[in-house]
Amino acid sequence: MFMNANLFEPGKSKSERSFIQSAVKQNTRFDGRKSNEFRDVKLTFGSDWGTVAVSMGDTKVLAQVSCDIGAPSSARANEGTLYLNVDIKGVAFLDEIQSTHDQRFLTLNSLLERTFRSSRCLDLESLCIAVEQHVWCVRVDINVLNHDGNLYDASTIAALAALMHFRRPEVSYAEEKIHTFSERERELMPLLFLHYPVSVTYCLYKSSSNPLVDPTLLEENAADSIIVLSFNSYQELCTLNAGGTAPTNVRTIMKCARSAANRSKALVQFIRKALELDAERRLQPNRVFGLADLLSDNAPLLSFKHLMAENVRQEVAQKKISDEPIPSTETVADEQLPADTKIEEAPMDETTWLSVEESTWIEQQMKNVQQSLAVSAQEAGKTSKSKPNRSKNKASKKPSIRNQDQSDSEEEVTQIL
Amino acid sequence: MNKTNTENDAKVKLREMHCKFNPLSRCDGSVMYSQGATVVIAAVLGPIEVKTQNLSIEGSYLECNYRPKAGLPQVKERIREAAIRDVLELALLSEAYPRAKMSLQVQELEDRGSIDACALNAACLAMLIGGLPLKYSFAAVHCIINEKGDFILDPEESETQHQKASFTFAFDSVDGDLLLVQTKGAFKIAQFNDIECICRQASVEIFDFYRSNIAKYHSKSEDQPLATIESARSELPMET
Amino acid sequence: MPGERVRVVEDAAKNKRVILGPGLRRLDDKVVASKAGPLRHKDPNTFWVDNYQRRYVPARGDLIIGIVKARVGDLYRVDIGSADTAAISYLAFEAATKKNRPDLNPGDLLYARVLNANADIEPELVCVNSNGKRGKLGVLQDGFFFKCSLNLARLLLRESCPALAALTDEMPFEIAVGVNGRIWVKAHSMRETVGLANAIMSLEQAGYAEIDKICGDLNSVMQT
Repeated sequence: MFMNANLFEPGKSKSERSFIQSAVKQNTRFDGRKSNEFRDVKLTFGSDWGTVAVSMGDTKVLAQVSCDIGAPSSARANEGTLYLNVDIKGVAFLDEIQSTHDQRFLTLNSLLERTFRSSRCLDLESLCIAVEQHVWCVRVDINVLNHDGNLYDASTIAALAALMHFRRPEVSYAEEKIHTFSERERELMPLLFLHYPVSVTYCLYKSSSNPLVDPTLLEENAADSIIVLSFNSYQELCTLNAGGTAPTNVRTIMKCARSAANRSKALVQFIRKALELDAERRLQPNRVFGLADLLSDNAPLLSFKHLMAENVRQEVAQKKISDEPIPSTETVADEQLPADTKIEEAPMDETTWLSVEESTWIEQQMKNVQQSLAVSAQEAGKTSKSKPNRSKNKASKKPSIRNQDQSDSEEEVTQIL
Repeated sequence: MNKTNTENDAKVKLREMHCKFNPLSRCDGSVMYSQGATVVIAAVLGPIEVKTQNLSIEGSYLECNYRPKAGLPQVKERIREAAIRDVLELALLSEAYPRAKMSLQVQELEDRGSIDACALNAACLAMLIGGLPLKYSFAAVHCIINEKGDFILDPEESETQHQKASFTFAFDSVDGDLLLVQTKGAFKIAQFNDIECICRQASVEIFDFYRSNIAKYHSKSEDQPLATIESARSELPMET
Repeated sequence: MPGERVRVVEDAAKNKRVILGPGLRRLDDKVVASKAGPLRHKDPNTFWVDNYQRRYVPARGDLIIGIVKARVGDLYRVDIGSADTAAISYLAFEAATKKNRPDLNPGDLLYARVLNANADIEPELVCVNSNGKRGKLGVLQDGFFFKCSLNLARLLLRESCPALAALTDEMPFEIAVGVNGRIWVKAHSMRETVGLANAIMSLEQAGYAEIDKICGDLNSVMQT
């Protein structure tokens, strides 16, 4: 992904690379963001169920969910299927050569597969109509309209928002016959979720230890390695994809993971909120909805900054009433993170790990750590048992990527010990 | 015309048209075009490098792709693609860039009736904005005859449920010649002629729409600042 | 609009010879537009249609910025943003001989002049003028490079461009503008370069009236 010499792309010529490298060293970003600042995310829902257009800066992605009735696979006879299809050959990549194309397609597709399918975010059993005969096949089509970096986040947000927005018709099954109710007969049903995963992308450079979040195309192309982390709203890790040539240490990844977890939670909240607003709009009669809104100026803006600013205000108000919910979710994250670091074969106690980490952590979050420290100390044993299988799966996926990081992390581990 | 005006059910007005130029950053010209609730994006690229198998010495090779919103392109999409290519090949001044390729992609965003006509109109706008040389511009209009025998111009999706026949016409801007006729269903020749008249009148409206929007776009990029984008852009360096 | 007869030019052509620029063509004795945009006229007799364009079509004598793609025999292949890649010979550099070859690698930026341009053959570049001196041409080191529309590049290259004059009042910098819609800038510090590049890119949307404002913004950036 990184060494490909497609020189048409921004960020691929030598001077651009060295410029970005030194800009990163000086902590400057081209569009004036801070290294941990995100671009604004905007959602536009279509008039059909399950159509969502997401834009992050200049990156634009369209997701469309559709479903039909099909036969299940023989291995999982009681489950519906989820099929993800990424279409990047559309309007965004007219000028690209084939090899870059395939590579990009594969990375993106595998990321989405792992985020949504392998993490089993949909309750597939609820999509079963008759065991071994009829199940719902849900299909997500992702059309990339414009690529300005961070396709990963944009497509996961689009896919998640589209899945959450989607409604399927209800069916009844009797005497080997399926009757599908039309929208008038019975209300359409939303899909059932087990959790809501969203990814966050970081760029790493050899010249700097500071990762950049939400890279633009220029930054992404000049980057030495890219880390994609998917977290769900419960701040559990779903996917980790790290590649490239920049030496990374555990601490950087941990730092990324922490902020990614928070970001994912906020994103899911944002999607929920946008969906609520969309549902409200749908109740109003005689309005033209849909993607035509993209063209009109006075359409209601479902942007992340806009909605979350309201949210923060509400949250502050909530906090005053009860301090309960926020620390409790933090502990979930902290339980999960040590479990994640186990993959590195670090023979260590979670508590020591955390206390070291604490010193390098951002001041703002200090309090939360201390709170969670106590909890995670108690639950240290518990977490290692309840550690979900998927992190083990990941361990098998990762070694190839990790090889070069291994020495790095081991050094650090010895230092810590 | 007279006949349809007297009946209440007939509709001889186009739906509201909107367009936004260059929403995409990576191609030479792109346009997001909507007619009522039907929305498409068209993007052109060209002249660009051509594969040797498609190379032609006299003129440029035209590549045309239509992408549906969901699923892979099927036969229906291929037909639409071919229709767009046929019209474009007529309109494109291909001898201007020999040994090159012009590439056009149309992405459906939302189909709420008369998608064929929308795709063609978007393609024309994208060509105009991308600065590709054309012999003339073109406009396409869709019209149906419903079950009562009324003519409905530029129908909504709901109105096409019980259609007896549907027509898509494409006209050129200079002589008003017909570039494309697609018909489906049963109709009388007289009806066909009537509908062609209606569509021809509607195409004038579309050409006016092209002209006013392109004029607006050019004046905007030269003299008057685009208020929203400008303010957003000028904020950017502030934060560095 | 394409296909329309341009009467103004036809009238002018009755009295004298006229030069038809891009976007206009002759059909028998009619002058017909092939692009959409406002008609421009430059005395004494040049007419063309001005339109927003991002794709570069090479023309003889243009100054362009290219990226070296590969070396092929005696040539370097250079991407200049047009349909074909351009070629530049080893010998088209200052003081280059068969023994003393210039050291170019894929990814290098090149500021060059188009020597030869024709729709049917590959464009050819040079990095020297007719005296064999390199002048301002050659490899561009460091700095920052970005793409913009052709219109903006042409606007900046106009001799009386108020934008560049206003920007030079703010700070010293080096700039190379290729008519193929590529701009390279270099200022003293990273921050200045970034600010400068942003200022130039914002010109794309703004137009002349906004130049003062953009310069003001730039100024405030530098002070912070």
